[in-house]
Amino acid sequence: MDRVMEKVGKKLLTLSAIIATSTILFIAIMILIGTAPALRKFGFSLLGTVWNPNLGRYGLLPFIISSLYVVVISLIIAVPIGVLSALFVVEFCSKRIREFLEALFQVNFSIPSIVYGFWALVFIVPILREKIQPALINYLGFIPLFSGEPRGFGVLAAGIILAIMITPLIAAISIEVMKLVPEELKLSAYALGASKSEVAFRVTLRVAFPGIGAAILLSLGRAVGETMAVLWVTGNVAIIPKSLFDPCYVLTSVLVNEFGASVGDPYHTSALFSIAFILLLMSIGFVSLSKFIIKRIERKWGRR
Amino acid sequence: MKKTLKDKITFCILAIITIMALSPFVLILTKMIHMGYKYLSPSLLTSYPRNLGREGGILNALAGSFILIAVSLTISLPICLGAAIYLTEFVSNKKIKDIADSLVEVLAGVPSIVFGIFGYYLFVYILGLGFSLLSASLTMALMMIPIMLRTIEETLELVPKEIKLSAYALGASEWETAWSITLRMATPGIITGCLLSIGRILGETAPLILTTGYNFRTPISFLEGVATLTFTMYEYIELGAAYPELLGKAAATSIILIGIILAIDLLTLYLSKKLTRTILV
Amino acid sequence: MGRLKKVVLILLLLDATMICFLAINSPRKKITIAGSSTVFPLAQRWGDIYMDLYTHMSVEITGGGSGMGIIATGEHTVDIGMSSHPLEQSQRKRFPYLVEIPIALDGVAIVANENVNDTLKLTREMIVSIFSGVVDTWDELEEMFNVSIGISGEIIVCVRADKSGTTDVFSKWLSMDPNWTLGHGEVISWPKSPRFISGNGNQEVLINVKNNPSAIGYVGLAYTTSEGIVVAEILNPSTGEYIEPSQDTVKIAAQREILYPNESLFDPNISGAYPISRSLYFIIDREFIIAKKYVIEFIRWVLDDNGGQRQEIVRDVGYVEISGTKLQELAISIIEELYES
Repeated sequence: MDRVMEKVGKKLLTLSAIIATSTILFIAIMILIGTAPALRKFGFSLLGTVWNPNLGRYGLLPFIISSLYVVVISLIIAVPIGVLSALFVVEFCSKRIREFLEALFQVNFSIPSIVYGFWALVFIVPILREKIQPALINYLGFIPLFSGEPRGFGVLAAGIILAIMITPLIAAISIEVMKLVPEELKLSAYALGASKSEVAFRVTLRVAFPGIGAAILLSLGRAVGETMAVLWVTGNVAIIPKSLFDPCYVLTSVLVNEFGASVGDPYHTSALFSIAFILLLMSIGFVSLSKFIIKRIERKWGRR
Repeated sequence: MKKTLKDKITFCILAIITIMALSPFVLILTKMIHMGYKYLSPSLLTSYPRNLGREGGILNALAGSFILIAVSLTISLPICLGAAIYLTEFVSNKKIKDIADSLVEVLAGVPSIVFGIFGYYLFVYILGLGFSLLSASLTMALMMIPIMLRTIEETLELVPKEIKLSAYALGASEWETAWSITLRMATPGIITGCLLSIGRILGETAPLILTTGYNFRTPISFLEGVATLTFTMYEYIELGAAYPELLGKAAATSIILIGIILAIDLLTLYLSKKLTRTILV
Repeated sequence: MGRLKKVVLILLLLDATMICFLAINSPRKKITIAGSSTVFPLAQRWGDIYMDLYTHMSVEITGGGSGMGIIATGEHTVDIGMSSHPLEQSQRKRFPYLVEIPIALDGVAIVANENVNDTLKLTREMIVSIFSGVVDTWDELEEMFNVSIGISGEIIVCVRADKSGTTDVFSKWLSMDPNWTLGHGEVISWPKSPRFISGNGNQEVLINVKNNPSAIGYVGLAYTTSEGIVVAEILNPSTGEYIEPSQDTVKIAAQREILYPNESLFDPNISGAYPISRSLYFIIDREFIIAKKYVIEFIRWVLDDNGGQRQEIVRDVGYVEISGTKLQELAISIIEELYES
């Protein structure tokens, strides 16, 4: 009887393992199957610039460029702040303060994305529209990047809230990577007469660089997949944004908005699947690459 | 180490930057309290919404979140536990284990909206479960896998080989060892994994939009829809243009939500400190 | 470890009980409704009250736009579709069993940000020139039509991106002017200009209008009581009067002999009537619904003068009841016929 139980038990365990590991395959297969009709019918014209389901035009370029634009802006803001904060926490703080600050980063990171999105709608958009954008247009309006009307919504708003969301992530990973920098390197630098800030920037930052690169890639992956935080602040217009103040339409927002409404139209649904496919590729690509780099680093410097 | 002037200036600048990085939490909480404090009362937590949510509370969301988490955990925990035990105990080939681990790692990078689409197609459409608590729980269970599985695996891998070898030496079979010893050792990982997954699910919205309907009461069947704190915020914000009080209610809901998540975070921190000491005995 | 085991066992027991409870219970009789964001708040309200009255019933309502609601009803994924415009020919062809039941009255209003002016008197030609993108700035509008507007600067036009009955009705009314070239339908190809901001649902259009100091947009009547906007008075070409959209002016538009539920209520030749009035509909699939008596009973309640049509319910949400109009008679006769079968 025990033998039978053992056999059944083992089969159950195997089944669990199969379910857990093959989920990703099922997801990938489903998305590919869903994309097939659109690919077959439209092929490369899917990379067109016009998205108008009612006229049968399914150009995905506005969404791809919107997502990339917004994410790049968010990185430009988040990376310096995140990395420099991490440097501060690791090099300029006592152990107890460090633990406290790390916990604070964790707290910032656990705020649900819909809360960030809500706050962006009621706080960031009005401030941009009433104070910041008019000022920018006044002084820098001649640059195409800052041209347009102050609407509040658009690339800049989305970039800012995404930046706020991913800064704790960049900081947390950078902190972990900086902790791995061997003491000997720092001690030798001090012995040679370096000051704290010199050690921080010339040793820790330099050595931790690949790890920081991994952090950036990871945040890229997360940011591109963010839905609720940017849904209400991008303006949701399927154009290719040029200025920071232009409205845009990111990959995730199209999926949320149009998936329910595409029920009747198989090509529309299929085009949406191709959007999901691109989204999946981008997120998985960035995240996996980043984890790969982190593993290499951990192996090199050893885990602490 | 001399404290040069440059050091002092650098310290100040970096400190300011760090404060900037950590301030959103305070800003957000302040704004939410400002918008929603007049709705914060015991009746918010104990009564159902009436009149489109303009009156009444969010009991449906509280109960719904609780039920959703419980059902999702019930589905996900056995699978992750079984898979973790299988992968650490019964897989000798390192290559296979690496592939398995990679497959789960990649799952961690999938955006939540894609999970929502997958859940819609598999559970709502193909399996015909419709927009329901069941579809949503199944989808959430899948989303939990990367976190839960990895956490349990890590705990299991910490189990010293000697304990297992002694058990074998005493005549226990692979199965018996796995059950009585490894499982015991895995308990801290299971608890941490559960807490982390609960934290994740509480914050998710997109998959729910695609797999379930919004229920103004507590679901009494798997096939009914379900409301959660995040889903309630979503609905209220969408209706908020026509009914501005709902924005205040959404803010109040967010305060409750943040409070619960903070509590779980603190619990996780406290437990992980306590439990790592236990294992390393 | 003994105490931990006890806790775990208790948790497992509670969990098992809950799972069994959820599995055994059949879901509360659920009425699923989906579609127009205009009808949405009204249906929500009705669903709320109905659930209070009949606690074993559950009414679940989702949005998605009129078009989506009609398709979902035709494909039997929901019981009732909400639509803010009558069925199109193509929809009737595709789903021959669909029936429109008028359930309330509404108007399409033109709203602008309060900065634009204190009051706004618009004719159809002016609206056509704004929404077709011909006129770029408020100054141009002033010049072209000899009116005075309080601000200058570009006109931000707030439109709908999703399949919307409101868009359909609005564009149909605009099509009565020969200068309107963008056609009519649930989705319009608006000019590709950054001045045009699109949103999903009336809610987002309202948000966009409120947030842009020089914005103008079109929304359903229920969305006109918000602060921060000015509601335009529209010229009724049949009577020559400028009428403000309100529940009373919309009701007047329906006070006449109506033969079919999908009749147009535009530009009625009645004094005091709002020109862009329309009926709101529940769409049902007659073959599908016949077996679901509880859905028919719900609609009966909705159409009843003492049920859903009570003024304090419908007007509170921002719409107009159809009590005392021919529309109500037509609707009730349709429902009674279905109930008898």
